[in-house]
Amino acid sequence: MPAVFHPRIIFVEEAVSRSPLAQRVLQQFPDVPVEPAEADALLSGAAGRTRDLRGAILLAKQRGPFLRLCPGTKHHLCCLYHNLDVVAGCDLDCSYCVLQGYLNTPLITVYCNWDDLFAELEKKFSSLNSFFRVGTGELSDSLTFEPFLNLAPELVSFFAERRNAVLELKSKNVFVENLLGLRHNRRTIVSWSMNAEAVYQSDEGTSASPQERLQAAQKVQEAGYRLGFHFDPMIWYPKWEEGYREIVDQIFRVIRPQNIAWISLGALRYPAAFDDVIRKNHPQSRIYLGELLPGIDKKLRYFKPLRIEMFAKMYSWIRSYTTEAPVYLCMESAEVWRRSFGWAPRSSAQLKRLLDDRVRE
Amino acid sequence: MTSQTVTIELQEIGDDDLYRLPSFAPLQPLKDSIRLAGLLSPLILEPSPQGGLRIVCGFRRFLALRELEFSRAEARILTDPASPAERFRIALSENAAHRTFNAAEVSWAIKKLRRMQVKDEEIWRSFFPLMRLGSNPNLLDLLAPIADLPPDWQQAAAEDRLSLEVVKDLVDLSDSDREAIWRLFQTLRLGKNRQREFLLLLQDVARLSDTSLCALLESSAFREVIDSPLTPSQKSERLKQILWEMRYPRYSEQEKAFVELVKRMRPPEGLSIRHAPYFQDEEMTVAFSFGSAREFRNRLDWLEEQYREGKIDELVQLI
Repeated sequence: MPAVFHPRIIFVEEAVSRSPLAQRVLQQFPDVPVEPAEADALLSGAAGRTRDLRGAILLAKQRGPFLRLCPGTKHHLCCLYHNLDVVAGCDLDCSYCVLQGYLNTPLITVYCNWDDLFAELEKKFSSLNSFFRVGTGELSDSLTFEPFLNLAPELVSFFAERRNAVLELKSKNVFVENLLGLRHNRRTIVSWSMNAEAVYQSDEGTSASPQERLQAAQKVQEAGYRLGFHFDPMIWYPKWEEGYREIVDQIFRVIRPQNIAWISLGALRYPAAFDDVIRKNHPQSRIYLGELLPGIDKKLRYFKPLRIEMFAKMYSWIRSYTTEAPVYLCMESAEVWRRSFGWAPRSSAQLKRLLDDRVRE
Repeated sequence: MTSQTVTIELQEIGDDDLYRLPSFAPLQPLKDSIRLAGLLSPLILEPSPQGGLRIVCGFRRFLALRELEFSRAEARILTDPASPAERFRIALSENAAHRTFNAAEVSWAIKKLRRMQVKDEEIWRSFFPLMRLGSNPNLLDLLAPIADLPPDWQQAAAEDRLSLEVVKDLVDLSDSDREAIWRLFQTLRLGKNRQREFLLLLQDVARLSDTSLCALLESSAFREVIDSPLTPSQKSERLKQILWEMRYPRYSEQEKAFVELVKRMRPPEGLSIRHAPYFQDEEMTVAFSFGSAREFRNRLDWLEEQYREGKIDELVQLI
């Protein structure tokens, strides 16, 4: 089981120093040095040059919106998901993690102005006649800091009362204890990012093993939650078929298909400039040696026939177990959908509706 | 700054090179100037802790004087106490006053400053502007490794023939791999822009083939091209093609099939058929030029014929 993150130093912005969340974190680590700080100064590129920010937490005020619509990518179908940025940064150190490029700092920022967060969500969910799938797993891992942040109870309880929104907690970790006794009303989906064992071994840092993730998934299944599985990013390697087939089999050995909200597939992709970041931060990794070529959105993606082959096979393996759980592609063109699955949503809106309907209830 | 200008015996100067930046420029012009006009700027020296004097500024002048068999020269001797870093600041400042530093010299300055326990942040914040460089930490990362390369590479960097983007990778290579790359760069006469492209491709292919760069470049496919009578630019293109076929086998196979099919279709002059970049989109482009209504009709007839014979379908199947 992965070790629980323990901060080396905690920076606190004055604006949130008295917030309940900041106080809770500070009380958990009475022996860790605490320093007052300004987020802007710490998050600038120069700060990482002048001091070591590895293992550091910043308790900060979110000054922008907490909730953001996934920006999608040009010429590709998007499921129109909403990201809820409560934490930015992760301790798992996966080689392919885009946070290395987007955040450019090892600092883990925890946004502590939760009164603002809930006020924003209340307003958003009440003012619009729309359905929201919301997740905290975009800029961080939703569960990896849960042992000391203990964010899930408040979030899960809040979403349990919403009629037009669900929460997705997406993780490669196993800290689900906080979730087990909660009244969730099936408005929270607990999801795991899954990968072949070989990819976990070589590229998923200090994440829990796929086996451990599945054990955690079983626990939340027993607690009545819906589950999600995300094979994203799928990594091509010489024996990828064996590796991915095996993990699909393992999932359906222990998870009941009716409890699966959705399964997504996505192949490794990243902005061209990120290639250097992976090479520099993870010189032992071989993921950048795949046949990655510039796609129509300019990101490096596997050569299209390779992607289609990977998606088509995964789809058939999953469909051999269930026809009811939606399987969707993350950030792919309608053409790739058609060639991989034999059909494609007409639009991003239709894809959104398909996934919304699965959890609308 | 306290100093006195005196005439000293050159033999009083020891070989302590604490402040010396290696020079990559020929000494002859300086010797000619000294022979003609004498030493215009005095050497700047300080008492050496080992006794005698050591040079703060003027290593090249000292060398030229010695080669010209001068025994004495005018010098300013700095007598006030100062840290090595402060003295080095004087040396850099004096040099910056009459010339620009090349990449190899900056790299050596960084190396010396680090040895003097100067922190990186102070180097890029305080010493870089002195050397007429921007206060940019990324520049420090790019330039610092040059001083750890063998002399040929340093010379290439000093003469602006080496892409700074490949320096870090070169430092991490084994001696034999680095020598193989040196020979390749010399043979192909690669410009700075293409050095990075080639090195990256070679490194990736070597890793994919579980072999060293050196062994890869010695393999028959590569040797055949390198030793051929082709021009450097033809060799570069041919080697790049081989590397692409090894690095992107599925893509290269599809590209080859596409090119062969279009070739078999024998398009008329002035008409081209292209697939989307890297086949990442399902669309193709047909472009043709025409100078008369008759030519326009001929192009359309040819396309019509290809459609009827199923060639367009074949193309579509390919992408």
